[in-house]
Amino acid sequence: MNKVSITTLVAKLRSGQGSSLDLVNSCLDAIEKQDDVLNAFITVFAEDARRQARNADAAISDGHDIGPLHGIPISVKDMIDVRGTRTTAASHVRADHRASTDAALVTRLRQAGAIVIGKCNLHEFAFGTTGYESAFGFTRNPHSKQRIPGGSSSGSAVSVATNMAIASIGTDTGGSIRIPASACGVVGLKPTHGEVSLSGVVPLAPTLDHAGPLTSTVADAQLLFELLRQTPDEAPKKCQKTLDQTHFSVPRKYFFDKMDKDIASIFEHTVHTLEACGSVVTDVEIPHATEIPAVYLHTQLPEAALSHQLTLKTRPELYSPSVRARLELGRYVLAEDYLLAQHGREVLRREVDNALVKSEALILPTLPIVPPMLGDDSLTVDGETESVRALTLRLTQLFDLTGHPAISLPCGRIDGIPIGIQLVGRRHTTHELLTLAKQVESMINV
Amino acid sequence: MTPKMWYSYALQDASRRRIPELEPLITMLQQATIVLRQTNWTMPPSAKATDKESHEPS
Repeated sequence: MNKVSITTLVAKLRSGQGSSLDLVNSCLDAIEKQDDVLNAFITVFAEDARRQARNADAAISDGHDIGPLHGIPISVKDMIDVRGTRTTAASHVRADHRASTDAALVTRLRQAGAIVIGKCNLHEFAFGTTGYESAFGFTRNPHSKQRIPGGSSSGSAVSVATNMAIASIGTDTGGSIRIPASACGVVGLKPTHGEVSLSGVVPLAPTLDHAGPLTSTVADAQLLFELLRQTPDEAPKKCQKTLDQTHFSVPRKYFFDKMDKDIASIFEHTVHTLEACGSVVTDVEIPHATEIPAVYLHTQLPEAALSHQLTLKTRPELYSPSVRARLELGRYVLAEDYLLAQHGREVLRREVDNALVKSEALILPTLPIVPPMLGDDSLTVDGETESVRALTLRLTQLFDLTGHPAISLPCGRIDGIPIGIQLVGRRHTTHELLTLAKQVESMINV
Repeated sequence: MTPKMWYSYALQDASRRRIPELEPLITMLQQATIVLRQTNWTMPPSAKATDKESHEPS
């Protein structure tokens, strides 16, 4: 995996130690060599990317500096509009779509000098956590090709893990940035809800939808977040604490009830590493944690059904059967239950806020299981069989409900398969969470 | 509408619309609805406010 930061790459381009064209060609070579098997991309803009790279190199020669992403090839999930190209959302439903303008976040990337190299595969309409359902075929995990890469931003994570792109932008409605980041061994950031514009992004469940970066390092995630954000921090800037001044809280009840023992072991090792650095780590309780899936279902399902109201009526046969069935299910949720779920959501938000009063971050694994085999619908953990969907969402969906910023970073491997750790910060302090995550990353570097 | 009545109507509708994949999902949603409705959703006090109050002289 490429661990050279974007800042370092741009500095090299500026000093003439490399060219944007070489960087783009390197990514295109990686796509050429690996993507027949991995299937991370739906569309690759090879010639356009090379043309932009030549322009970027010429600009540097002429003394023009476009910005902090000057000449850097970046992929985007195919839920995000790129002017003049199709946005398929990995569905036959959108086969005829063409975007007339760039999504707001793509405009930000271009203004900073980035080159959009292609659009990544995903779980159809981002409505799944495996990356298995796609009109363009499933994506494979590069670390174990018979396993899922996690989803729904499956291709984005794979593109970064395999150097097909230097970074990627994904979306996260229940964990869709953090889950594939964990499964593929990259960094994935879900900012506070509303911090990154979703204008020009295909909606799934608007009150839960987030966009954010998938990168090789936390520093890259921070760089991209600062470029993409549309709102300033609400909280006053504090003097950033060092690890020996940091208090982490572990929400054990419910979150650790169905967890692979090897993942639990790696997590405890990480906690010991932080304690050895002087951090304080204590347990904390989210009192209504057990009810998270009920609140999530009664929120996400009807919102997704509304987003797809027209095409469910006019072109239902174009959805994959499992995605269509879940969208149809949302039409059966009663208004009183949706509204009750929104109240439950406020209660959960208060409980997460309370859990973060005495600590700078919650810390927990990103996934409770090793990425399952392709096509598996259920798994047995501690003698109990559970759906893969429920297990993969178990540690991430709460923070989409409450809007708290959360980041997944690699913290170890089991039989060569990456495992991620998740840090969750106070709302509207994503910058502080990233600064803390950089310190954690440097201590647990794997 | 009770979850039991809702469940019956939902299954009938899914059958009428010939979407058999919906049946296990409707069962899963009914269980979640029961959990949602049976939970005591009293809003907890803000920990920040509680801390402040605890430092105020009694």
